[in-house]
Amino acid sequence: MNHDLSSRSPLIQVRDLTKSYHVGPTTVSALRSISLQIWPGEFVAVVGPSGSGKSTLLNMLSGVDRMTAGDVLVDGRAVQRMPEAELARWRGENLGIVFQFFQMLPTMTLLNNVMLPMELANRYTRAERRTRAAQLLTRVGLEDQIHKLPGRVSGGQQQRAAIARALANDPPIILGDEPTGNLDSGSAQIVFDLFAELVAAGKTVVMVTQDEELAARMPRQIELSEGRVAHDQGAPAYA
Amino acid sequence: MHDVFTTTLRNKVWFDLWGARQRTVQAILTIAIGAFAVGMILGSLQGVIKDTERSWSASSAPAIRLRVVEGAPADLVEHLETRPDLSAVEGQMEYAIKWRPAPDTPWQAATLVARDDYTNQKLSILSLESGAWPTRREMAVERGYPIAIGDQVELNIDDHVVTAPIIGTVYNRVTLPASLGGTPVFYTTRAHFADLTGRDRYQFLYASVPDYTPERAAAAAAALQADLKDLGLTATPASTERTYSIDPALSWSHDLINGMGFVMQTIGIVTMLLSLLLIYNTVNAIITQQTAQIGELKAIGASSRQILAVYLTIVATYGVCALIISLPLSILAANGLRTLLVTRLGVTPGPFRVEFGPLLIQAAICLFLPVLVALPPIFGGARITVREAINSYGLSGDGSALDEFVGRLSWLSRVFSLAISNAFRNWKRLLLTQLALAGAGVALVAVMSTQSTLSYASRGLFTELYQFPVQIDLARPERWTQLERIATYPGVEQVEIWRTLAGVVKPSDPASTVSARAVELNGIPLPSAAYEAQMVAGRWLEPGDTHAIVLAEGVAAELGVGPGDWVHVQLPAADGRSIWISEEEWQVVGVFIDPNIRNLSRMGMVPRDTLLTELHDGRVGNRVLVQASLSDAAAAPAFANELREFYDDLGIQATITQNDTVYQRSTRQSENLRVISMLLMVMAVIVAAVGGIALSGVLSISVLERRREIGVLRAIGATPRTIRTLFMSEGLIFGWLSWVITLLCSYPVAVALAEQVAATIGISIVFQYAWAAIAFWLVLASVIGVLASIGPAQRAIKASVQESLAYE
Ligand SMILES: Nc1ncnc2c1ncn2[C@@H]1O[C@H](COP(=O)(O)OP(=O)(O)OP(=O)(O)O)[C@@H](O)[C@H]1O
Ligand SMILES: [Mg+2]
Repeated sequence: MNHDLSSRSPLIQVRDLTKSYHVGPTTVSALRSISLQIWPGEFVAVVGPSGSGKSTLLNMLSGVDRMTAGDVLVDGRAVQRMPEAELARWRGENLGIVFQFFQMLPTMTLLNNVMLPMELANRYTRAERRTRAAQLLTRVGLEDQIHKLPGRVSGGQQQRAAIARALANDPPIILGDEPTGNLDSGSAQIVFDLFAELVAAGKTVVMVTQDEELAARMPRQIELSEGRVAHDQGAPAYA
Repeated sequence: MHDVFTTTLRNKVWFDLWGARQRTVQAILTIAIGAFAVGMILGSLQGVIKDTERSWSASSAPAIRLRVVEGAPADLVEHLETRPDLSAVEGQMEYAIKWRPAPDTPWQAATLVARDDYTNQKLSILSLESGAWPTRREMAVERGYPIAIGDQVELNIDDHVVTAPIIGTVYNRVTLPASLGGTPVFYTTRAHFADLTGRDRYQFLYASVPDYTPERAAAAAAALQADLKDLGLTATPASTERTYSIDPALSWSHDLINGMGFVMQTIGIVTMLLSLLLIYNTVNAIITQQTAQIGELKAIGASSRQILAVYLTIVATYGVCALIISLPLSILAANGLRTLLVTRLGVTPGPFRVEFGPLLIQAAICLFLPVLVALPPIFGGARITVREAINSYGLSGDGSALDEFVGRLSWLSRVFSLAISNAFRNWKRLLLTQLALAGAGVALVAVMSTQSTLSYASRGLFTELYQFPVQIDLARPERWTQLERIATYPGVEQVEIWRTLAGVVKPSDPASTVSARAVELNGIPLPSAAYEAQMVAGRWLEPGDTHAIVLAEGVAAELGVGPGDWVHVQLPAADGRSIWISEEEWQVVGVFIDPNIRNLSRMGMVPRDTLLTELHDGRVGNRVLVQASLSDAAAAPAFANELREFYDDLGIQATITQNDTVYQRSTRQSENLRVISMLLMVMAVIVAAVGGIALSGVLSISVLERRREIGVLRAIGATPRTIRTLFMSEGLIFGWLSWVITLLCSYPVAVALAEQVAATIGISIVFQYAWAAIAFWLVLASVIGVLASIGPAQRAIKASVQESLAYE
């Protein structure tokens, strides 16, 4: 996949996406028939009050959870149609996911954490994986910490390592669910700048954030409210 | 408690129990299996002891048992009853006969017994199991043999054949039951006995003493013996221990029951410790997993006391459920096992019942132990600060130096190194789990080794020791030249003649306080081709030895002698007039292994020529060992019959026994030990089950604990197969590690257990390590390692990634 901004077809296409949770006898509608499109190279903020469906939307995009109705097409492929194993492989190669709580595997060094997705996707040779992981960690400013375990570095450093891990297989799309939500403002700044760099390098980044200031610095904001798109500002002109 | 227990907290308890059903079930099962095993083992042991004691006490076992060589006249019994040092006296007439179920079947050994009055027995009481007591012509038979009421059997009494209608079956609780290789006993009246045998004398005298003490019984027995001697009667010891007096509370099976008790108590304690460890592990895992929640509860103002109350309630609930499940099962199983064992011992099992002592222990295991072992982790959890708890919100756990090391092994695949790291992640838990698993493995191997040692002692060892398959015992010593004519019989390859008799042996050392023992002395030619001794100490007999004696391990231990020591050996005269024909000092040169149960056989080996000289015998023998080419071991008894008939035609009378052949002796021995073997197998199954559940519990809880991690792995591209492989590897690492520890530790434990069990039963053993058990444990540990991790992993995979990530 090699997209540039002039490409006229959206990279992510969401159509009438609905997601309901059944909790006992009651049904919670997390997403109510959402439709939106995201083009290659976009830097999108997903905002909205708590419980509005931001995480749910991101989980639908990554195929981490199954939708109730509607379609999600990523680069033309229907996420929901892929069987589990294929979905896992596809996710490993095409998506980088960054979580709010870092979620680094605690028993593995940062280097190994970053190498893991490459191994899972069976990409690159052994030697390449190592150099590549070291390069990615250097890129996020952790060249001195690569042999440390996640528990031995700060939260901000863990989150940077998590970004390095998300980039392991050089995926075109990066999804972040409040990646700065658990960081102090200094670390949050560094992480945000990393995301911005990725966009500059041609990646498509979708980031959920509660931080209005950060959101304001991103070209496009999709605001959710009660499972619907309330506002969608800054979509590219060719949309 | 009300203020501590708000509705919300009560809801939390409910959620933890029901919301995490799988974990709840796992925890309950862990507690239940341990409690069940302990309850069943102790319950059945107590039941066995009570049943056998009840049966034994119903028999009014005598404290004094004498065999009167010449037979005691009937009026003597009445006369003896007036003695103040005896409280009751009973006489029994016995005569060795042969029987057969139908005219053209071979004769088999049997005993004819008569009592004065069956309806008024005082000691060693025979009870009527079914039918009626013997009458003038009709007889009763000991239960357990293939002889039924209404049958007409043929009895051969000194070659005089009579037909006896059977009208009753009798239960003699004092002798070996049919199932343990006794010979059939036919009961008749005194008058009929006299008609058939021409004797109206008691061969056995049983007596009890008022307020039994060993000293009183021994004194009474000695006085009785002296009085009999004055009457010209010779008394020999007739107890199973070959003593004149014996504790009437000790049944013939008490050694076996002691052996069983030892095994059961040991395994009971081991399973209890195992389940303790497991419960601790389980609770600990649950608390660790809930650290974040505990922090949150505290953050919203829950006190440590309230948190304690929540988790103790949860743990207590596990215990109550475990008790509800395990109690009825263990009561059922205890009754089943008791019935099995008691029946095996030839005793009629008592009715279905509940033993309260074991039940209380079981209740304690379920109700108190979990709470007790849960306290430390719960206190630890309750003390955790909010900050600590909240900080562990991401993927829980910390890496260690090992992880860093594993991380540097670049040749390892990341997935595999993750498995290793995970397995070793929680050192304390790993240690406890391995302790439990390896404990189960070691117990399993020890139990199975003991089992195969016992079965070797009753099978392989016999054939190794006795090189010749057939052994014919003669009614009286016969000339070698006559006996050797058997060599011409087709199939006979080699013949060896022994001279055997029961001597009385005691240490020569005047300082020794050990009482004399009756020992079956075997005078063997040197060298002997028929017997290949296995020595424990010293040496075997060598050509040129004269007053040298080799004693069986058990006898040597009883006498407290070893190689180099001297013993005083008394040999009884054959005519019965003078008592001893020889009283000499012999030197013990060695100690050998005799696989027979000590109470049934006390053996010593001496040079035949010296023995014959001491006995003033010529070249005679009364035991003929025959080497023969037989198609298989089972053919030996029939061949022995043919040899007996050959001798019969020569006018040589062979005693009919069930012990002519190595095959029969080893069969009988294994019958004797089967109850223990059976028990050991049951124990092995229990231990394996506890170990299995332990492993599966640990693994599935560890999978449950790491659902979030599974979610992360999948989010970064791990396929379900990768995840399965990961957890399977982890399960296998756990299982294999426990196997390695088992392999390293089991040998000494197994030796100790086998020796202890053998010592309690009273047999000598050659230890057999159960390699099969080691292999079995490897298979079991692998299978459980895979199954127990794959199930929960599969469920975790099925749950969507999002759920895994949200899972708490
Ligand atoms: N596993 C679940 N089961 C039931 N309901 C759920 C589940 N996950 C989310 N919901 C519900 O779906 C709705 C949307 O949740 P979602 O997590 O997407 O919100 P969000 O916008 O990410 O909120 P936040 O900013 O707090 O993270 C909420 O009402 C939530 O209660
Ligand atoms: Mg969210």
